[in-house]
Amino acid sequence: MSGERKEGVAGFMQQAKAQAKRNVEHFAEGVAADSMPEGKLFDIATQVSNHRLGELTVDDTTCGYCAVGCRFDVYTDGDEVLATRATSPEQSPVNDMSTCVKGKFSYNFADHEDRLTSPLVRDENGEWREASWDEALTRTVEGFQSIIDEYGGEKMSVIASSKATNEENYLMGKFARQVLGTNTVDNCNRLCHSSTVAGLAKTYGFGAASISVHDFEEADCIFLTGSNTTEAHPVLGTRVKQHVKDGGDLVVFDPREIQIAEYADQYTQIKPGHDRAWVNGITRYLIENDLYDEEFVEERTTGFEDVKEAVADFTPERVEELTGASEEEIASAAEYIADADRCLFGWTLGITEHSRGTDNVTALANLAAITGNVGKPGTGVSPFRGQNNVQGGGGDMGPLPDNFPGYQSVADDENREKFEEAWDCDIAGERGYYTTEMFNAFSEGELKGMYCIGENPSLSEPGKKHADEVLEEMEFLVVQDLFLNETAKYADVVLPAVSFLEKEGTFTNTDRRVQKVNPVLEPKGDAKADWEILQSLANRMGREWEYENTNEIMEEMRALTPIYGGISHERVEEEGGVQWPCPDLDHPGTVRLYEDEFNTEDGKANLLPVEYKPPMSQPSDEFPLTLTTGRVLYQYHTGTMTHPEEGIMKYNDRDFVELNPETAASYGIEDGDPVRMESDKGEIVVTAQVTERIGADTVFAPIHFAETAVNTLTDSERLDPEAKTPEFKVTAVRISPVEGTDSTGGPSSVEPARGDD
Amino acid sequence: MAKPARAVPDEATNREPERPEEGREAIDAVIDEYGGDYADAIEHTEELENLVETAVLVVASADDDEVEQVTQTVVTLVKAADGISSEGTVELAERLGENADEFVDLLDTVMEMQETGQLDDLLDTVMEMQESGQLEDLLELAGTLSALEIDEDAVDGINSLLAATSDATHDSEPVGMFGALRALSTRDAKAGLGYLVAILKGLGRRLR
Repeated sequence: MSGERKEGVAGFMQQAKAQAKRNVEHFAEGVAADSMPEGKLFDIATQVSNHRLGELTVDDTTCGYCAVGCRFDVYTDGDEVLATRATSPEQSPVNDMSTCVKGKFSYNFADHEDRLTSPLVRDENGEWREASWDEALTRTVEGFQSIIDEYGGEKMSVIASSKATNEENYLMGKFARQVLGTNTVDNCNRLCHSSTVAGLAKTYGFGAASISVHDFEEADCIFLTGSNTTEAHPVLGTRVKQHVKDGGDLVVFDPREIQIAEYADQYTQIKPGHDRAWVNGITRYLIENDLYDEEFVEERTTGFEDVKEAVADFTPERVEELTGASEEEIASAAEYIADADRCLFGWTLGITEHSRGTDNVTALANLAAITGNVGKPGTGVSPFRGQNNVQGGGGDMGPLPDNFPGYQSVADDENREKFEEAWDCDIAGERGYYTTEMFNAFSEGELKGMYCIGENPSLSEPGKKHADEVLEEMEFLVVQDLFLNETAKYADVVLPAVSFLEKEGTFTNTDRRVQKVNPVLEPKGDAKADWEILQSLANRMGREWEYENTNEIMEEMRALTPIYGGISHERVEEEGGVQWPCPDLDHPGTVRLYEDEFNTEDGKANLLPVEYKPPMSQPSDEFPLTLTTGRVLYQYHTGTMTHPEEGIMKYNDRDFVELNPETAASYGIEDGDPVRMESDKGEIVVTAQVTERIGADTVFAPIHFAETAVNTLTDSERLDPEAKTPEFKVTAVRISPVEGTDSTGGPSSVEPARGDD
Repeated sequence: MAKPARAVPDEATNREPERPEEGREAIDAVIDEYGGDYADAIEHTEELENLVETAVLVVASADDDEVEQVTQTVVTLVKAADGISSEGTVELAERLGENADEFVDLLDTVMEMQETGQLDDLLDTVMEMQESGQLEDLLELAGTLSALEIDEDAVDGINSLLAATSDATHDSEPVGMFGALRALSTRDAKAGLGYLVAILKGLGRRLR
């Protein structure tokens, strides 16, 4: 690849040449507009543009933002991404020619001036100093080894990165177990869909979407809840809109009247935190009115009677009191599902980020199964995953405290023996700590060191103050990232990694599709791919990893992972993506799960009764409102990838709080005013956005800015008992107007973005 | 256990060194940075051809002061390079004048075009199209050139320049510092260097 920035005189000359080339582009308007035949002008323009394109590198790859799994061609000059354009339809099965605003434009992060190009270590004063790889790796190994020697490997923890490739995540799990000797390895799935994984695994067998994205086209009805689809998964949002345009039904249950609700045949505003109640209410209506699929229930499920008994308590009155959904709305939603031959259930974190998230998911799994909406075209369950590779890297590859790759339980002796033999190490049969538990375990002295790869727990963990205290106090912390993020500032060593644009491997998207990731940029400076860094560390710690490339890692992984057994780089490239389970190279992959049987011992769906338990955080006189958090279209998670993008920041440069007009008026707050928001954990000041889209007792704030980190208000101890997902979607808060100051993010002339842009 | 530290040394990031990037300030900054050690500076010039070509482009869009500065800088660089080569300064000097007149003529045309404001865009386009292998097409643009009221000499002059650059482009190979210095000891290279210095001297004369 070309385009390296030269030093000295050559750099000046290079600049002069670039300026001269830019002049060419103005040639047409400046010189020839009135003196040259138009045809010739066109010829020149074509020649110039062809020449410029000829100097660029073009390769197709898979998007590194959300997990929809869009693929496109990326045009680069070797240093930065200049454009993305649709690739061939065979190579982009999920998105065809669509991309969202982030996938299309937001790549300045890759060449941003704050990208780390060398490892960092602390000098004698505790300040950062540039270090060679040799020094940084030496310090890292010394730190890890001293904790292992003093306390034992189980006191180490690893946070793996769902932004990294499958191959790298396989190695992160292997590194934790084989090199460090700990099962405490987890990732961001714990903060989002781990309750989906838990709920679906225990009912249907696989903790993943049962559908293919093309089922959106074949459904008669799409039932969406807790998903701000057009903002968090814009390209899927486009498919839902198309479904409506083609005459399909759409039902939306959500605390906020988000943009997709405008397309719905029925939108029901609910209070956050009680979803299992209204879902059970719908199930009750369907059973009581004989609108469920008796044949499917009889042949393909167990546990129906228990569910029938459990939902009987969810009378319309009780459901309305708990959730705000009226009897008519529950009945109407049930009728939409019953009337549809094919209904698809989609959800995102509005269902999962609760202290009862697994219950919410289980209730939805029951609902889909009793109506026979699983395993047929246009039907199924579709949790929309958030990080680009949280399905594959965060789950399938097994950087998990309780599972090896392919959801093979650590507690199972045979599985353990298989991996102990393959990796030549001993592995404990007890699961390690989940991410959210890790931070509490550090407080109790149960963990001592952390290797944090491509994650930013200082901002993303519930209870920011607690997370920061833990990070500052831990004995040894190594952070591997593109930037010195909020977490890295507490580290002992920072190792510079490369982005998905600079490496090869695979991602697995939200419909279990394994797709190829290709390098389109040169690595920045001395930054290295995660797998290269892991290999260097492993070998310095006495192992003999000899991977030449990520294909060799994939080959090792698939030999140990039955659901990936037939998924190779070669196939993924040739076939434009392969969906797991795919046990061998002759297997075509699985477009839709559960067509013949569920992945359970008896092959049937285990319907499980869901009792009502209230959310752990509840409004009180002191904290009368319920805060729910989420994302906006223009930003992505903690902002490391989107904040460097000037254009995007012009649309949305800070967090805000959505208030219902009635609520705002009762506090004397107007649109644009600074608002103090307090919980029992802390306070932030953000700008008010007064809008009808949110209910009177609920407030909403996005999660994207460190300056106003909304997780200052959330609680690290309010966790789902099974999945340990935090209760991000429900926090009791109070608000008050702030006189004469701006948000804690500092002044800004930019209007906060409407979430529905 | 580590206290939070945010300040990262620039050398560990993707940050560009802060230096003026255009005009006379840029040249001064480069000279400052390398402390007059032109041999060191030349280490960072990848190809002499690149240097020549760029110098012409810079001259084309520069004002008088900048032209003089560029001229001085390039001459100094060439002298520095020659100083390192082991032999032939005399021979090089002898060859300086041989092709100078032709280039001075060309430069006349160039300067004329610059004065009438037509040079910048035209020359850029010419270079661009030559690079993209569309030279033949370009030459068909005689109509365009006449429409711009450029006289025949000017067209001939431009074509001479392009033909020379084209040859260089087709025949050249990437060469590093040591390769460049080794190449300086060949007769052809010395002739070429003479050619360059003659251009620059001619240019300097016109500017004084």
